[in-house]
Amino acid sequence: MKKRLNAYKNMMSGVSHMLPFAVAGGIFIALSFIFDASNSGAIDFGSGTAIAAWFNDTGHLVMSFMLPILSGFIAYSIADRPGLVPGFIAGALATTGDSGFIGALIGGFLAGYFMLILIKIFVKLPASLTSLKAIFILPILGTLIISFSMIGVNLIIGPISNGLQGFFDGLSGPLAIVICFIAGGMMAIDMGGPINKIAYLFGVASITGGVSSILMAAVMAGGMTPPLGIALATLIFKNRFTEEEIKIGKSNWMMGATFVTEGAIPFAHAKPKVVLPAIIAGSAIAGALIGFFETSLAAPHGGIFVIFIMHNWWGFIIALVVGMIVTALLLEIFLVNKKIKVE
Amino acid sequence: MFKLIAVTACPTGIAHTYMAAEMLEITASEFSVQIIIETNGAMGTEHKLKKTDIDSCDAIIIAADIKIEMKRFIGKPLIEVSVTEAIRNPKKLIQDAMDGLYKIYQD
Repeated sequence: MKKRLNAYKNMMSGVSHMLPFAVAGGIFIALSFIFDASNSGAIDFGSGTAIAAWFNDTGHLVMSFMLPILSGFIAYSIADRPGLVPGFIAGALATTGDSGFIGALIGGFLAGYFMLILIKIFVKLPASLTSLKAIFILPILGTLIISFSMIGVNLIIGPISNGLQGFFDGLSGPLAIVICFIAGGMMAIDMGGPINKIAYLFGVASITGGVSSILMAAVMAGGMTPPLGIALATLIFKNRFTEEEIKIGKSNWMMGATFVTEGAIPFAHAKPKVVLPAIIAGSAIAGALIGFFETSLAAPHGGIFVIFIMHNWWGFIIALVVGMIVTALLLEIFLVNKKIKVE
Repeated sequence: MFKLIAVTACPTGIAHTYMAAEMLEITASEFSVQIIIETNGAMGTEHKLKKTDIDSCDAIIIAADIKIEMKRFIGKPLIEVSVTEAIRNPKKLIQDAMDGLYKIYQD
């Protein structure tokens, strides 16, 4: 249990540092398409005008930091400061070697644990050499070992990662609806816990190449629906809720709009058997609708503020509204003659 | 009065971190326990714990899903849980701390 929690913590330390880069990069790239709208469909779409090209280049530059930051801070979380050098390098090599998000993830853990081993080996160095260790021996040996290891990682993970990316890019039709249905539902199951994060990371992995993906849009819709649906329920079915709940419900509008699924937690915690089915169904349906409309998104966070950069953005609004209504109606049905209480 | 200190942190750093802090704060006041909480969110470390607080506290609660600065707690009574645990069961967490169900933290 302790070990597992640690691996999750290390991975999330990397993800948490990476996210702002993904948001900034994703939005810059999306803006480049907006500034180049007249060029839509052309091969140089996104860089047809000078300003579009500038946004596109800058966005891709910011995106290129994503994987190094991810693996760098995973390694930092494991091995502290000495982990940074091999960690960043692992991510950079995963980027150039095409093993993508998965390669960077593995590389980050490898870099961290290699450094832990190296630190142990060199722990008994004479005092005169300890300063040399941190600034000289560890960075050089770390770089050597991780660069060599990443050749293997890229070789094995590269094809898997490319296959996965191809799968995400080509996602359409009934398969897209099914995958998005599942991903949307997963977002609501534990509202920010490990299952939610697995779906979310798949969404993020699908946009690391600076492309927009249906899965990312489905994940965001699935994450926004629970608080929004609950907010809607507390607004129209007032007699089912206490005053306290109606107050919390109001703050859920803001939480939902900004893709903070956690807003649903107090309600789900109070009456899990009633609330969970309602929000999971709402989120899954919202996800499925995203798959149906093939709405896609290139930014990993932002909620309603990134709707304007979505492809087929109207599909996102329809999915959200339908998901909200389904959630609210199911809540009403389940709650007939019952009042859910929030502690 | 029982003196608690806590650190909360979550991956995205915009919601869980602060919800956990709020739950701990409310629960602590129900228990009439003094609590000082450091949040490690997307804005970085806020309300950073002072060394005097760490030295004078009776127990430490760490509710974090990411790495936080732990060296400062070596040799101190500490309970480590995920950030969701602090949101879901803050009462049990604080009760455990008061009942001495902590471990002395070693590096």
